[in-house]
Amino acid sequence: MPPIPKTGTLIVPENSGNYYSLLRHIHKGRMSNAYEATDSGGVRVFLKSYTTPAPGVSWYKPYIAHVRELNRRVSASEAAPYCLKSNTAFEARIGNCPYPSFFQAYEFIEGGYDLETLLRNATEGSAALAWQRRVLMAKVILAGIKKLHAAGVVHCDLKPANIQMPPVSAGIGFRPLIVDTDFSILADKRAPWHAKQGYIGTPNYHSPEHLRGGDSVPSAASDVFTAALILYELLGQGNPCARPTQEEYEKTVLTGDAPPIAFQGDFTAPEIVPQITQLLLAALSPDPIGRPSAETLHKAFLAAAVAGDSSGATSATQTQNVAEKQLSLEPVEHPSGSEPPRLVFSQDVKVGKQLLTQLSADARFSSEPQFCLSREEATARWLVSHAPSAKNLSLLNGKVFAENSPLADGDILSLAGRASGREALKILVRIP
Amino acid sequence: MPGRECADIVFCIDASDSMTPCIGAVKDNISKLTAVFSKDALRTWDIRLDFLAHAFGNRKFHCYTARQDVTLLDDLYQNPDPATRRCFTSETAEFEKALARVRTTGDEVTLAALDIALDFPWRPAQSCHRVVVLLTDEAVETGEAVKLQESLLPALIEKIHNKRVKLFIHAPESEIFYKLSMANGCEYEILSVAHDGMRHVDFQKLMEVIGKSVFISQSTLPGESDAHPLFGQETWRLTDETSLGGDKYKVSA
Repeated sequence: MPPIPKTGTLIVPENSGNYYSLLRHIHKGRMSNAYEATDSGGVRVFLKSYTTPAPGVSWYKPYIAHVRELNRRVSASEAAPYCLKSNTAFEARIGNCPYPSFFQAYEFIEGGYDLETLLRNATEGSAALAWQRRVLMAKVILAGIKKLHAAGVVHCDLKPANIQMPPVSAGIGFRPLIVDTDFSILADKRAPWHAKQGYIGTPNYHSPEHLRGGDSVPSAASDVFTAALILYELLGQGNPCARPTQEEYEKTVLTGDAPPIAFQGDFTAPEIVPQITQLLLAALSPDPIGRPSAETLHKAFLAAAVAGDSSGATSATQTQNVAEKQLSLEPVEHPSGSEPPRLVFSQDVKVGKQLLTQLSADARFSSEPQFCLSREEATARWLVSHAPSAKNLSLLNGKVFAENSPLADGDILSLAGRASGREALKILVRIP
Repeated sequence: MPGRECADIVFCIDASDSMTPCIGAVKDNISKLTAVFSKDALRTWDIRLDFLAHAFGNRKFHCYTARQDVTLLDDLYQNPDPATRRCFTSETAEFEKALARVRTTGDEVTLAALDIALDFPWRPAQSCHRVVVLLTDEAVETGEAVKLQESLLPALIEKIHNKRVKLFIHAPESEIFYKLSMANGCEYEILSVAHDGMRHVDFQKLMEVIGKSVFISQSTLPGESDAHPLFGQETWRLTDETSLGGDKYKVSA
């Protein structure tokens, strides 16, 4: 690809009045460089500059169309709350280079760890991960994979490092987010790079379909295989197929030589253990036809209650329902031609400057927290309360509001100075 | 149990006269990378290294590699058995000792040298990252055989794709390097100051970048392994001139 953009560079998308200013280089991957950037509205974004595909490859333009269709499917589906949101995908030129290259701007996630780090910290003893929390994480991760598959998307490169865990103030304390969908594929279409470049995967997480090569193409069943490896790490004895060399890993995976999972904790209904154990073993079958769907795995885990998990299967079902009845916030005004940044919630949350910064630069007028959102289980309504410690007032549709005021789709939340009364940070409430 | 990270890395180093002021810094900085591997007590890396330090003058191609016991072009292009080609070393001491021998001379034919580096005997790409780091302080346009090199750019890019090599270019701004950087996965770091012998390059940072890049997801196509010389280098014949060390080849036509 053209030269690596440096911090401070302005990235101006072709055919757009928008631009991005690079603040910080975050990460170098094999396929892209990632930056913290601000868009022309001052909103922080996670910007990826792609080295693969480069404009010199035949599948470059088809890849851009592929990514746009993939993003459309995710954002228009119930998978959206489980995936890092791509705001826009575009081409731009860097410096004097005569050729444009490909970029994507994603929502910026503040803080938190990926699952790989959480598991490593737990193993090393620096931060324990309770059994109850591990089981809840498994349920939410499986829900995300299930929704992704329902949207017609196969991730292809699942691994603990690709499950981000930004902190939230409720539920399991983290919001599992599936990331790195750049080389995910559409379940009903050939990937533009098919037969020109292999399918992306990670050593010790490749599915049998990745490893067979030739005309073999990863499918939803491949994600199930890798999801099972992740569940062994999260709930059991660790990745059962991991080997020091690729050759040994291939042999293990293709011969179906994995042992049953040895759960780290107990379930309140021990009779479900054999069923889940069997399902996970089947998920590691070399034959994709022999594997359960993500939906089947998820359903089995929803029935798996653990001590401290208040009501077992019912609670898990409720967790899923809450995820399906989400509330989102987006700025009332945003640059034309781009998708607005959006915050999506599926459980009680304290909202303050840290989160609101993702919506508007006006978030500088907010406090931590500014207001609280909660969901009333009995009525399935979302409620909002002003945080008493906040410096400026919170307004609902331009007026001061009572504690636990119900929210409706289209409501506008904003801030106002206590003395000046000047209104700022207008946020649109979306409740599907 | 983590898998070992596997990578073959070739440094394609301009050893022409213009590099004289900084060749020592280049060697020192590359040694910082090799030190990472030599201290790898847990053996988390499965690394093989080589370099191709090259210069060109009086129709002779002058080159050094990490393996002092190998006559490079003969081994790459005359040895009928690819499995017995002897480039690359896992011994960082051997690599550093060979690097220390490099002397500068003449001009450069950077893309011809890159073509040779691409023909090194890589391990399969589905299990091993293939990386070439191209270091030069001169644009191709100011070197030798410019038209020939430019005319072979499309074939060179296709070769990079077929070999599944990740190319890092550290070079001055150049139209030809812009075109070369259209190769898939290529990263082109423009030297802000040309003709200064690369004294402004932060090699430590470059090595960190390479270190990170070989950790990432890889695809499962094996990548081509056969040698496909584009510059006719299979016909270049070894001379007996060894005043600077390394090998010197008479370039035909």
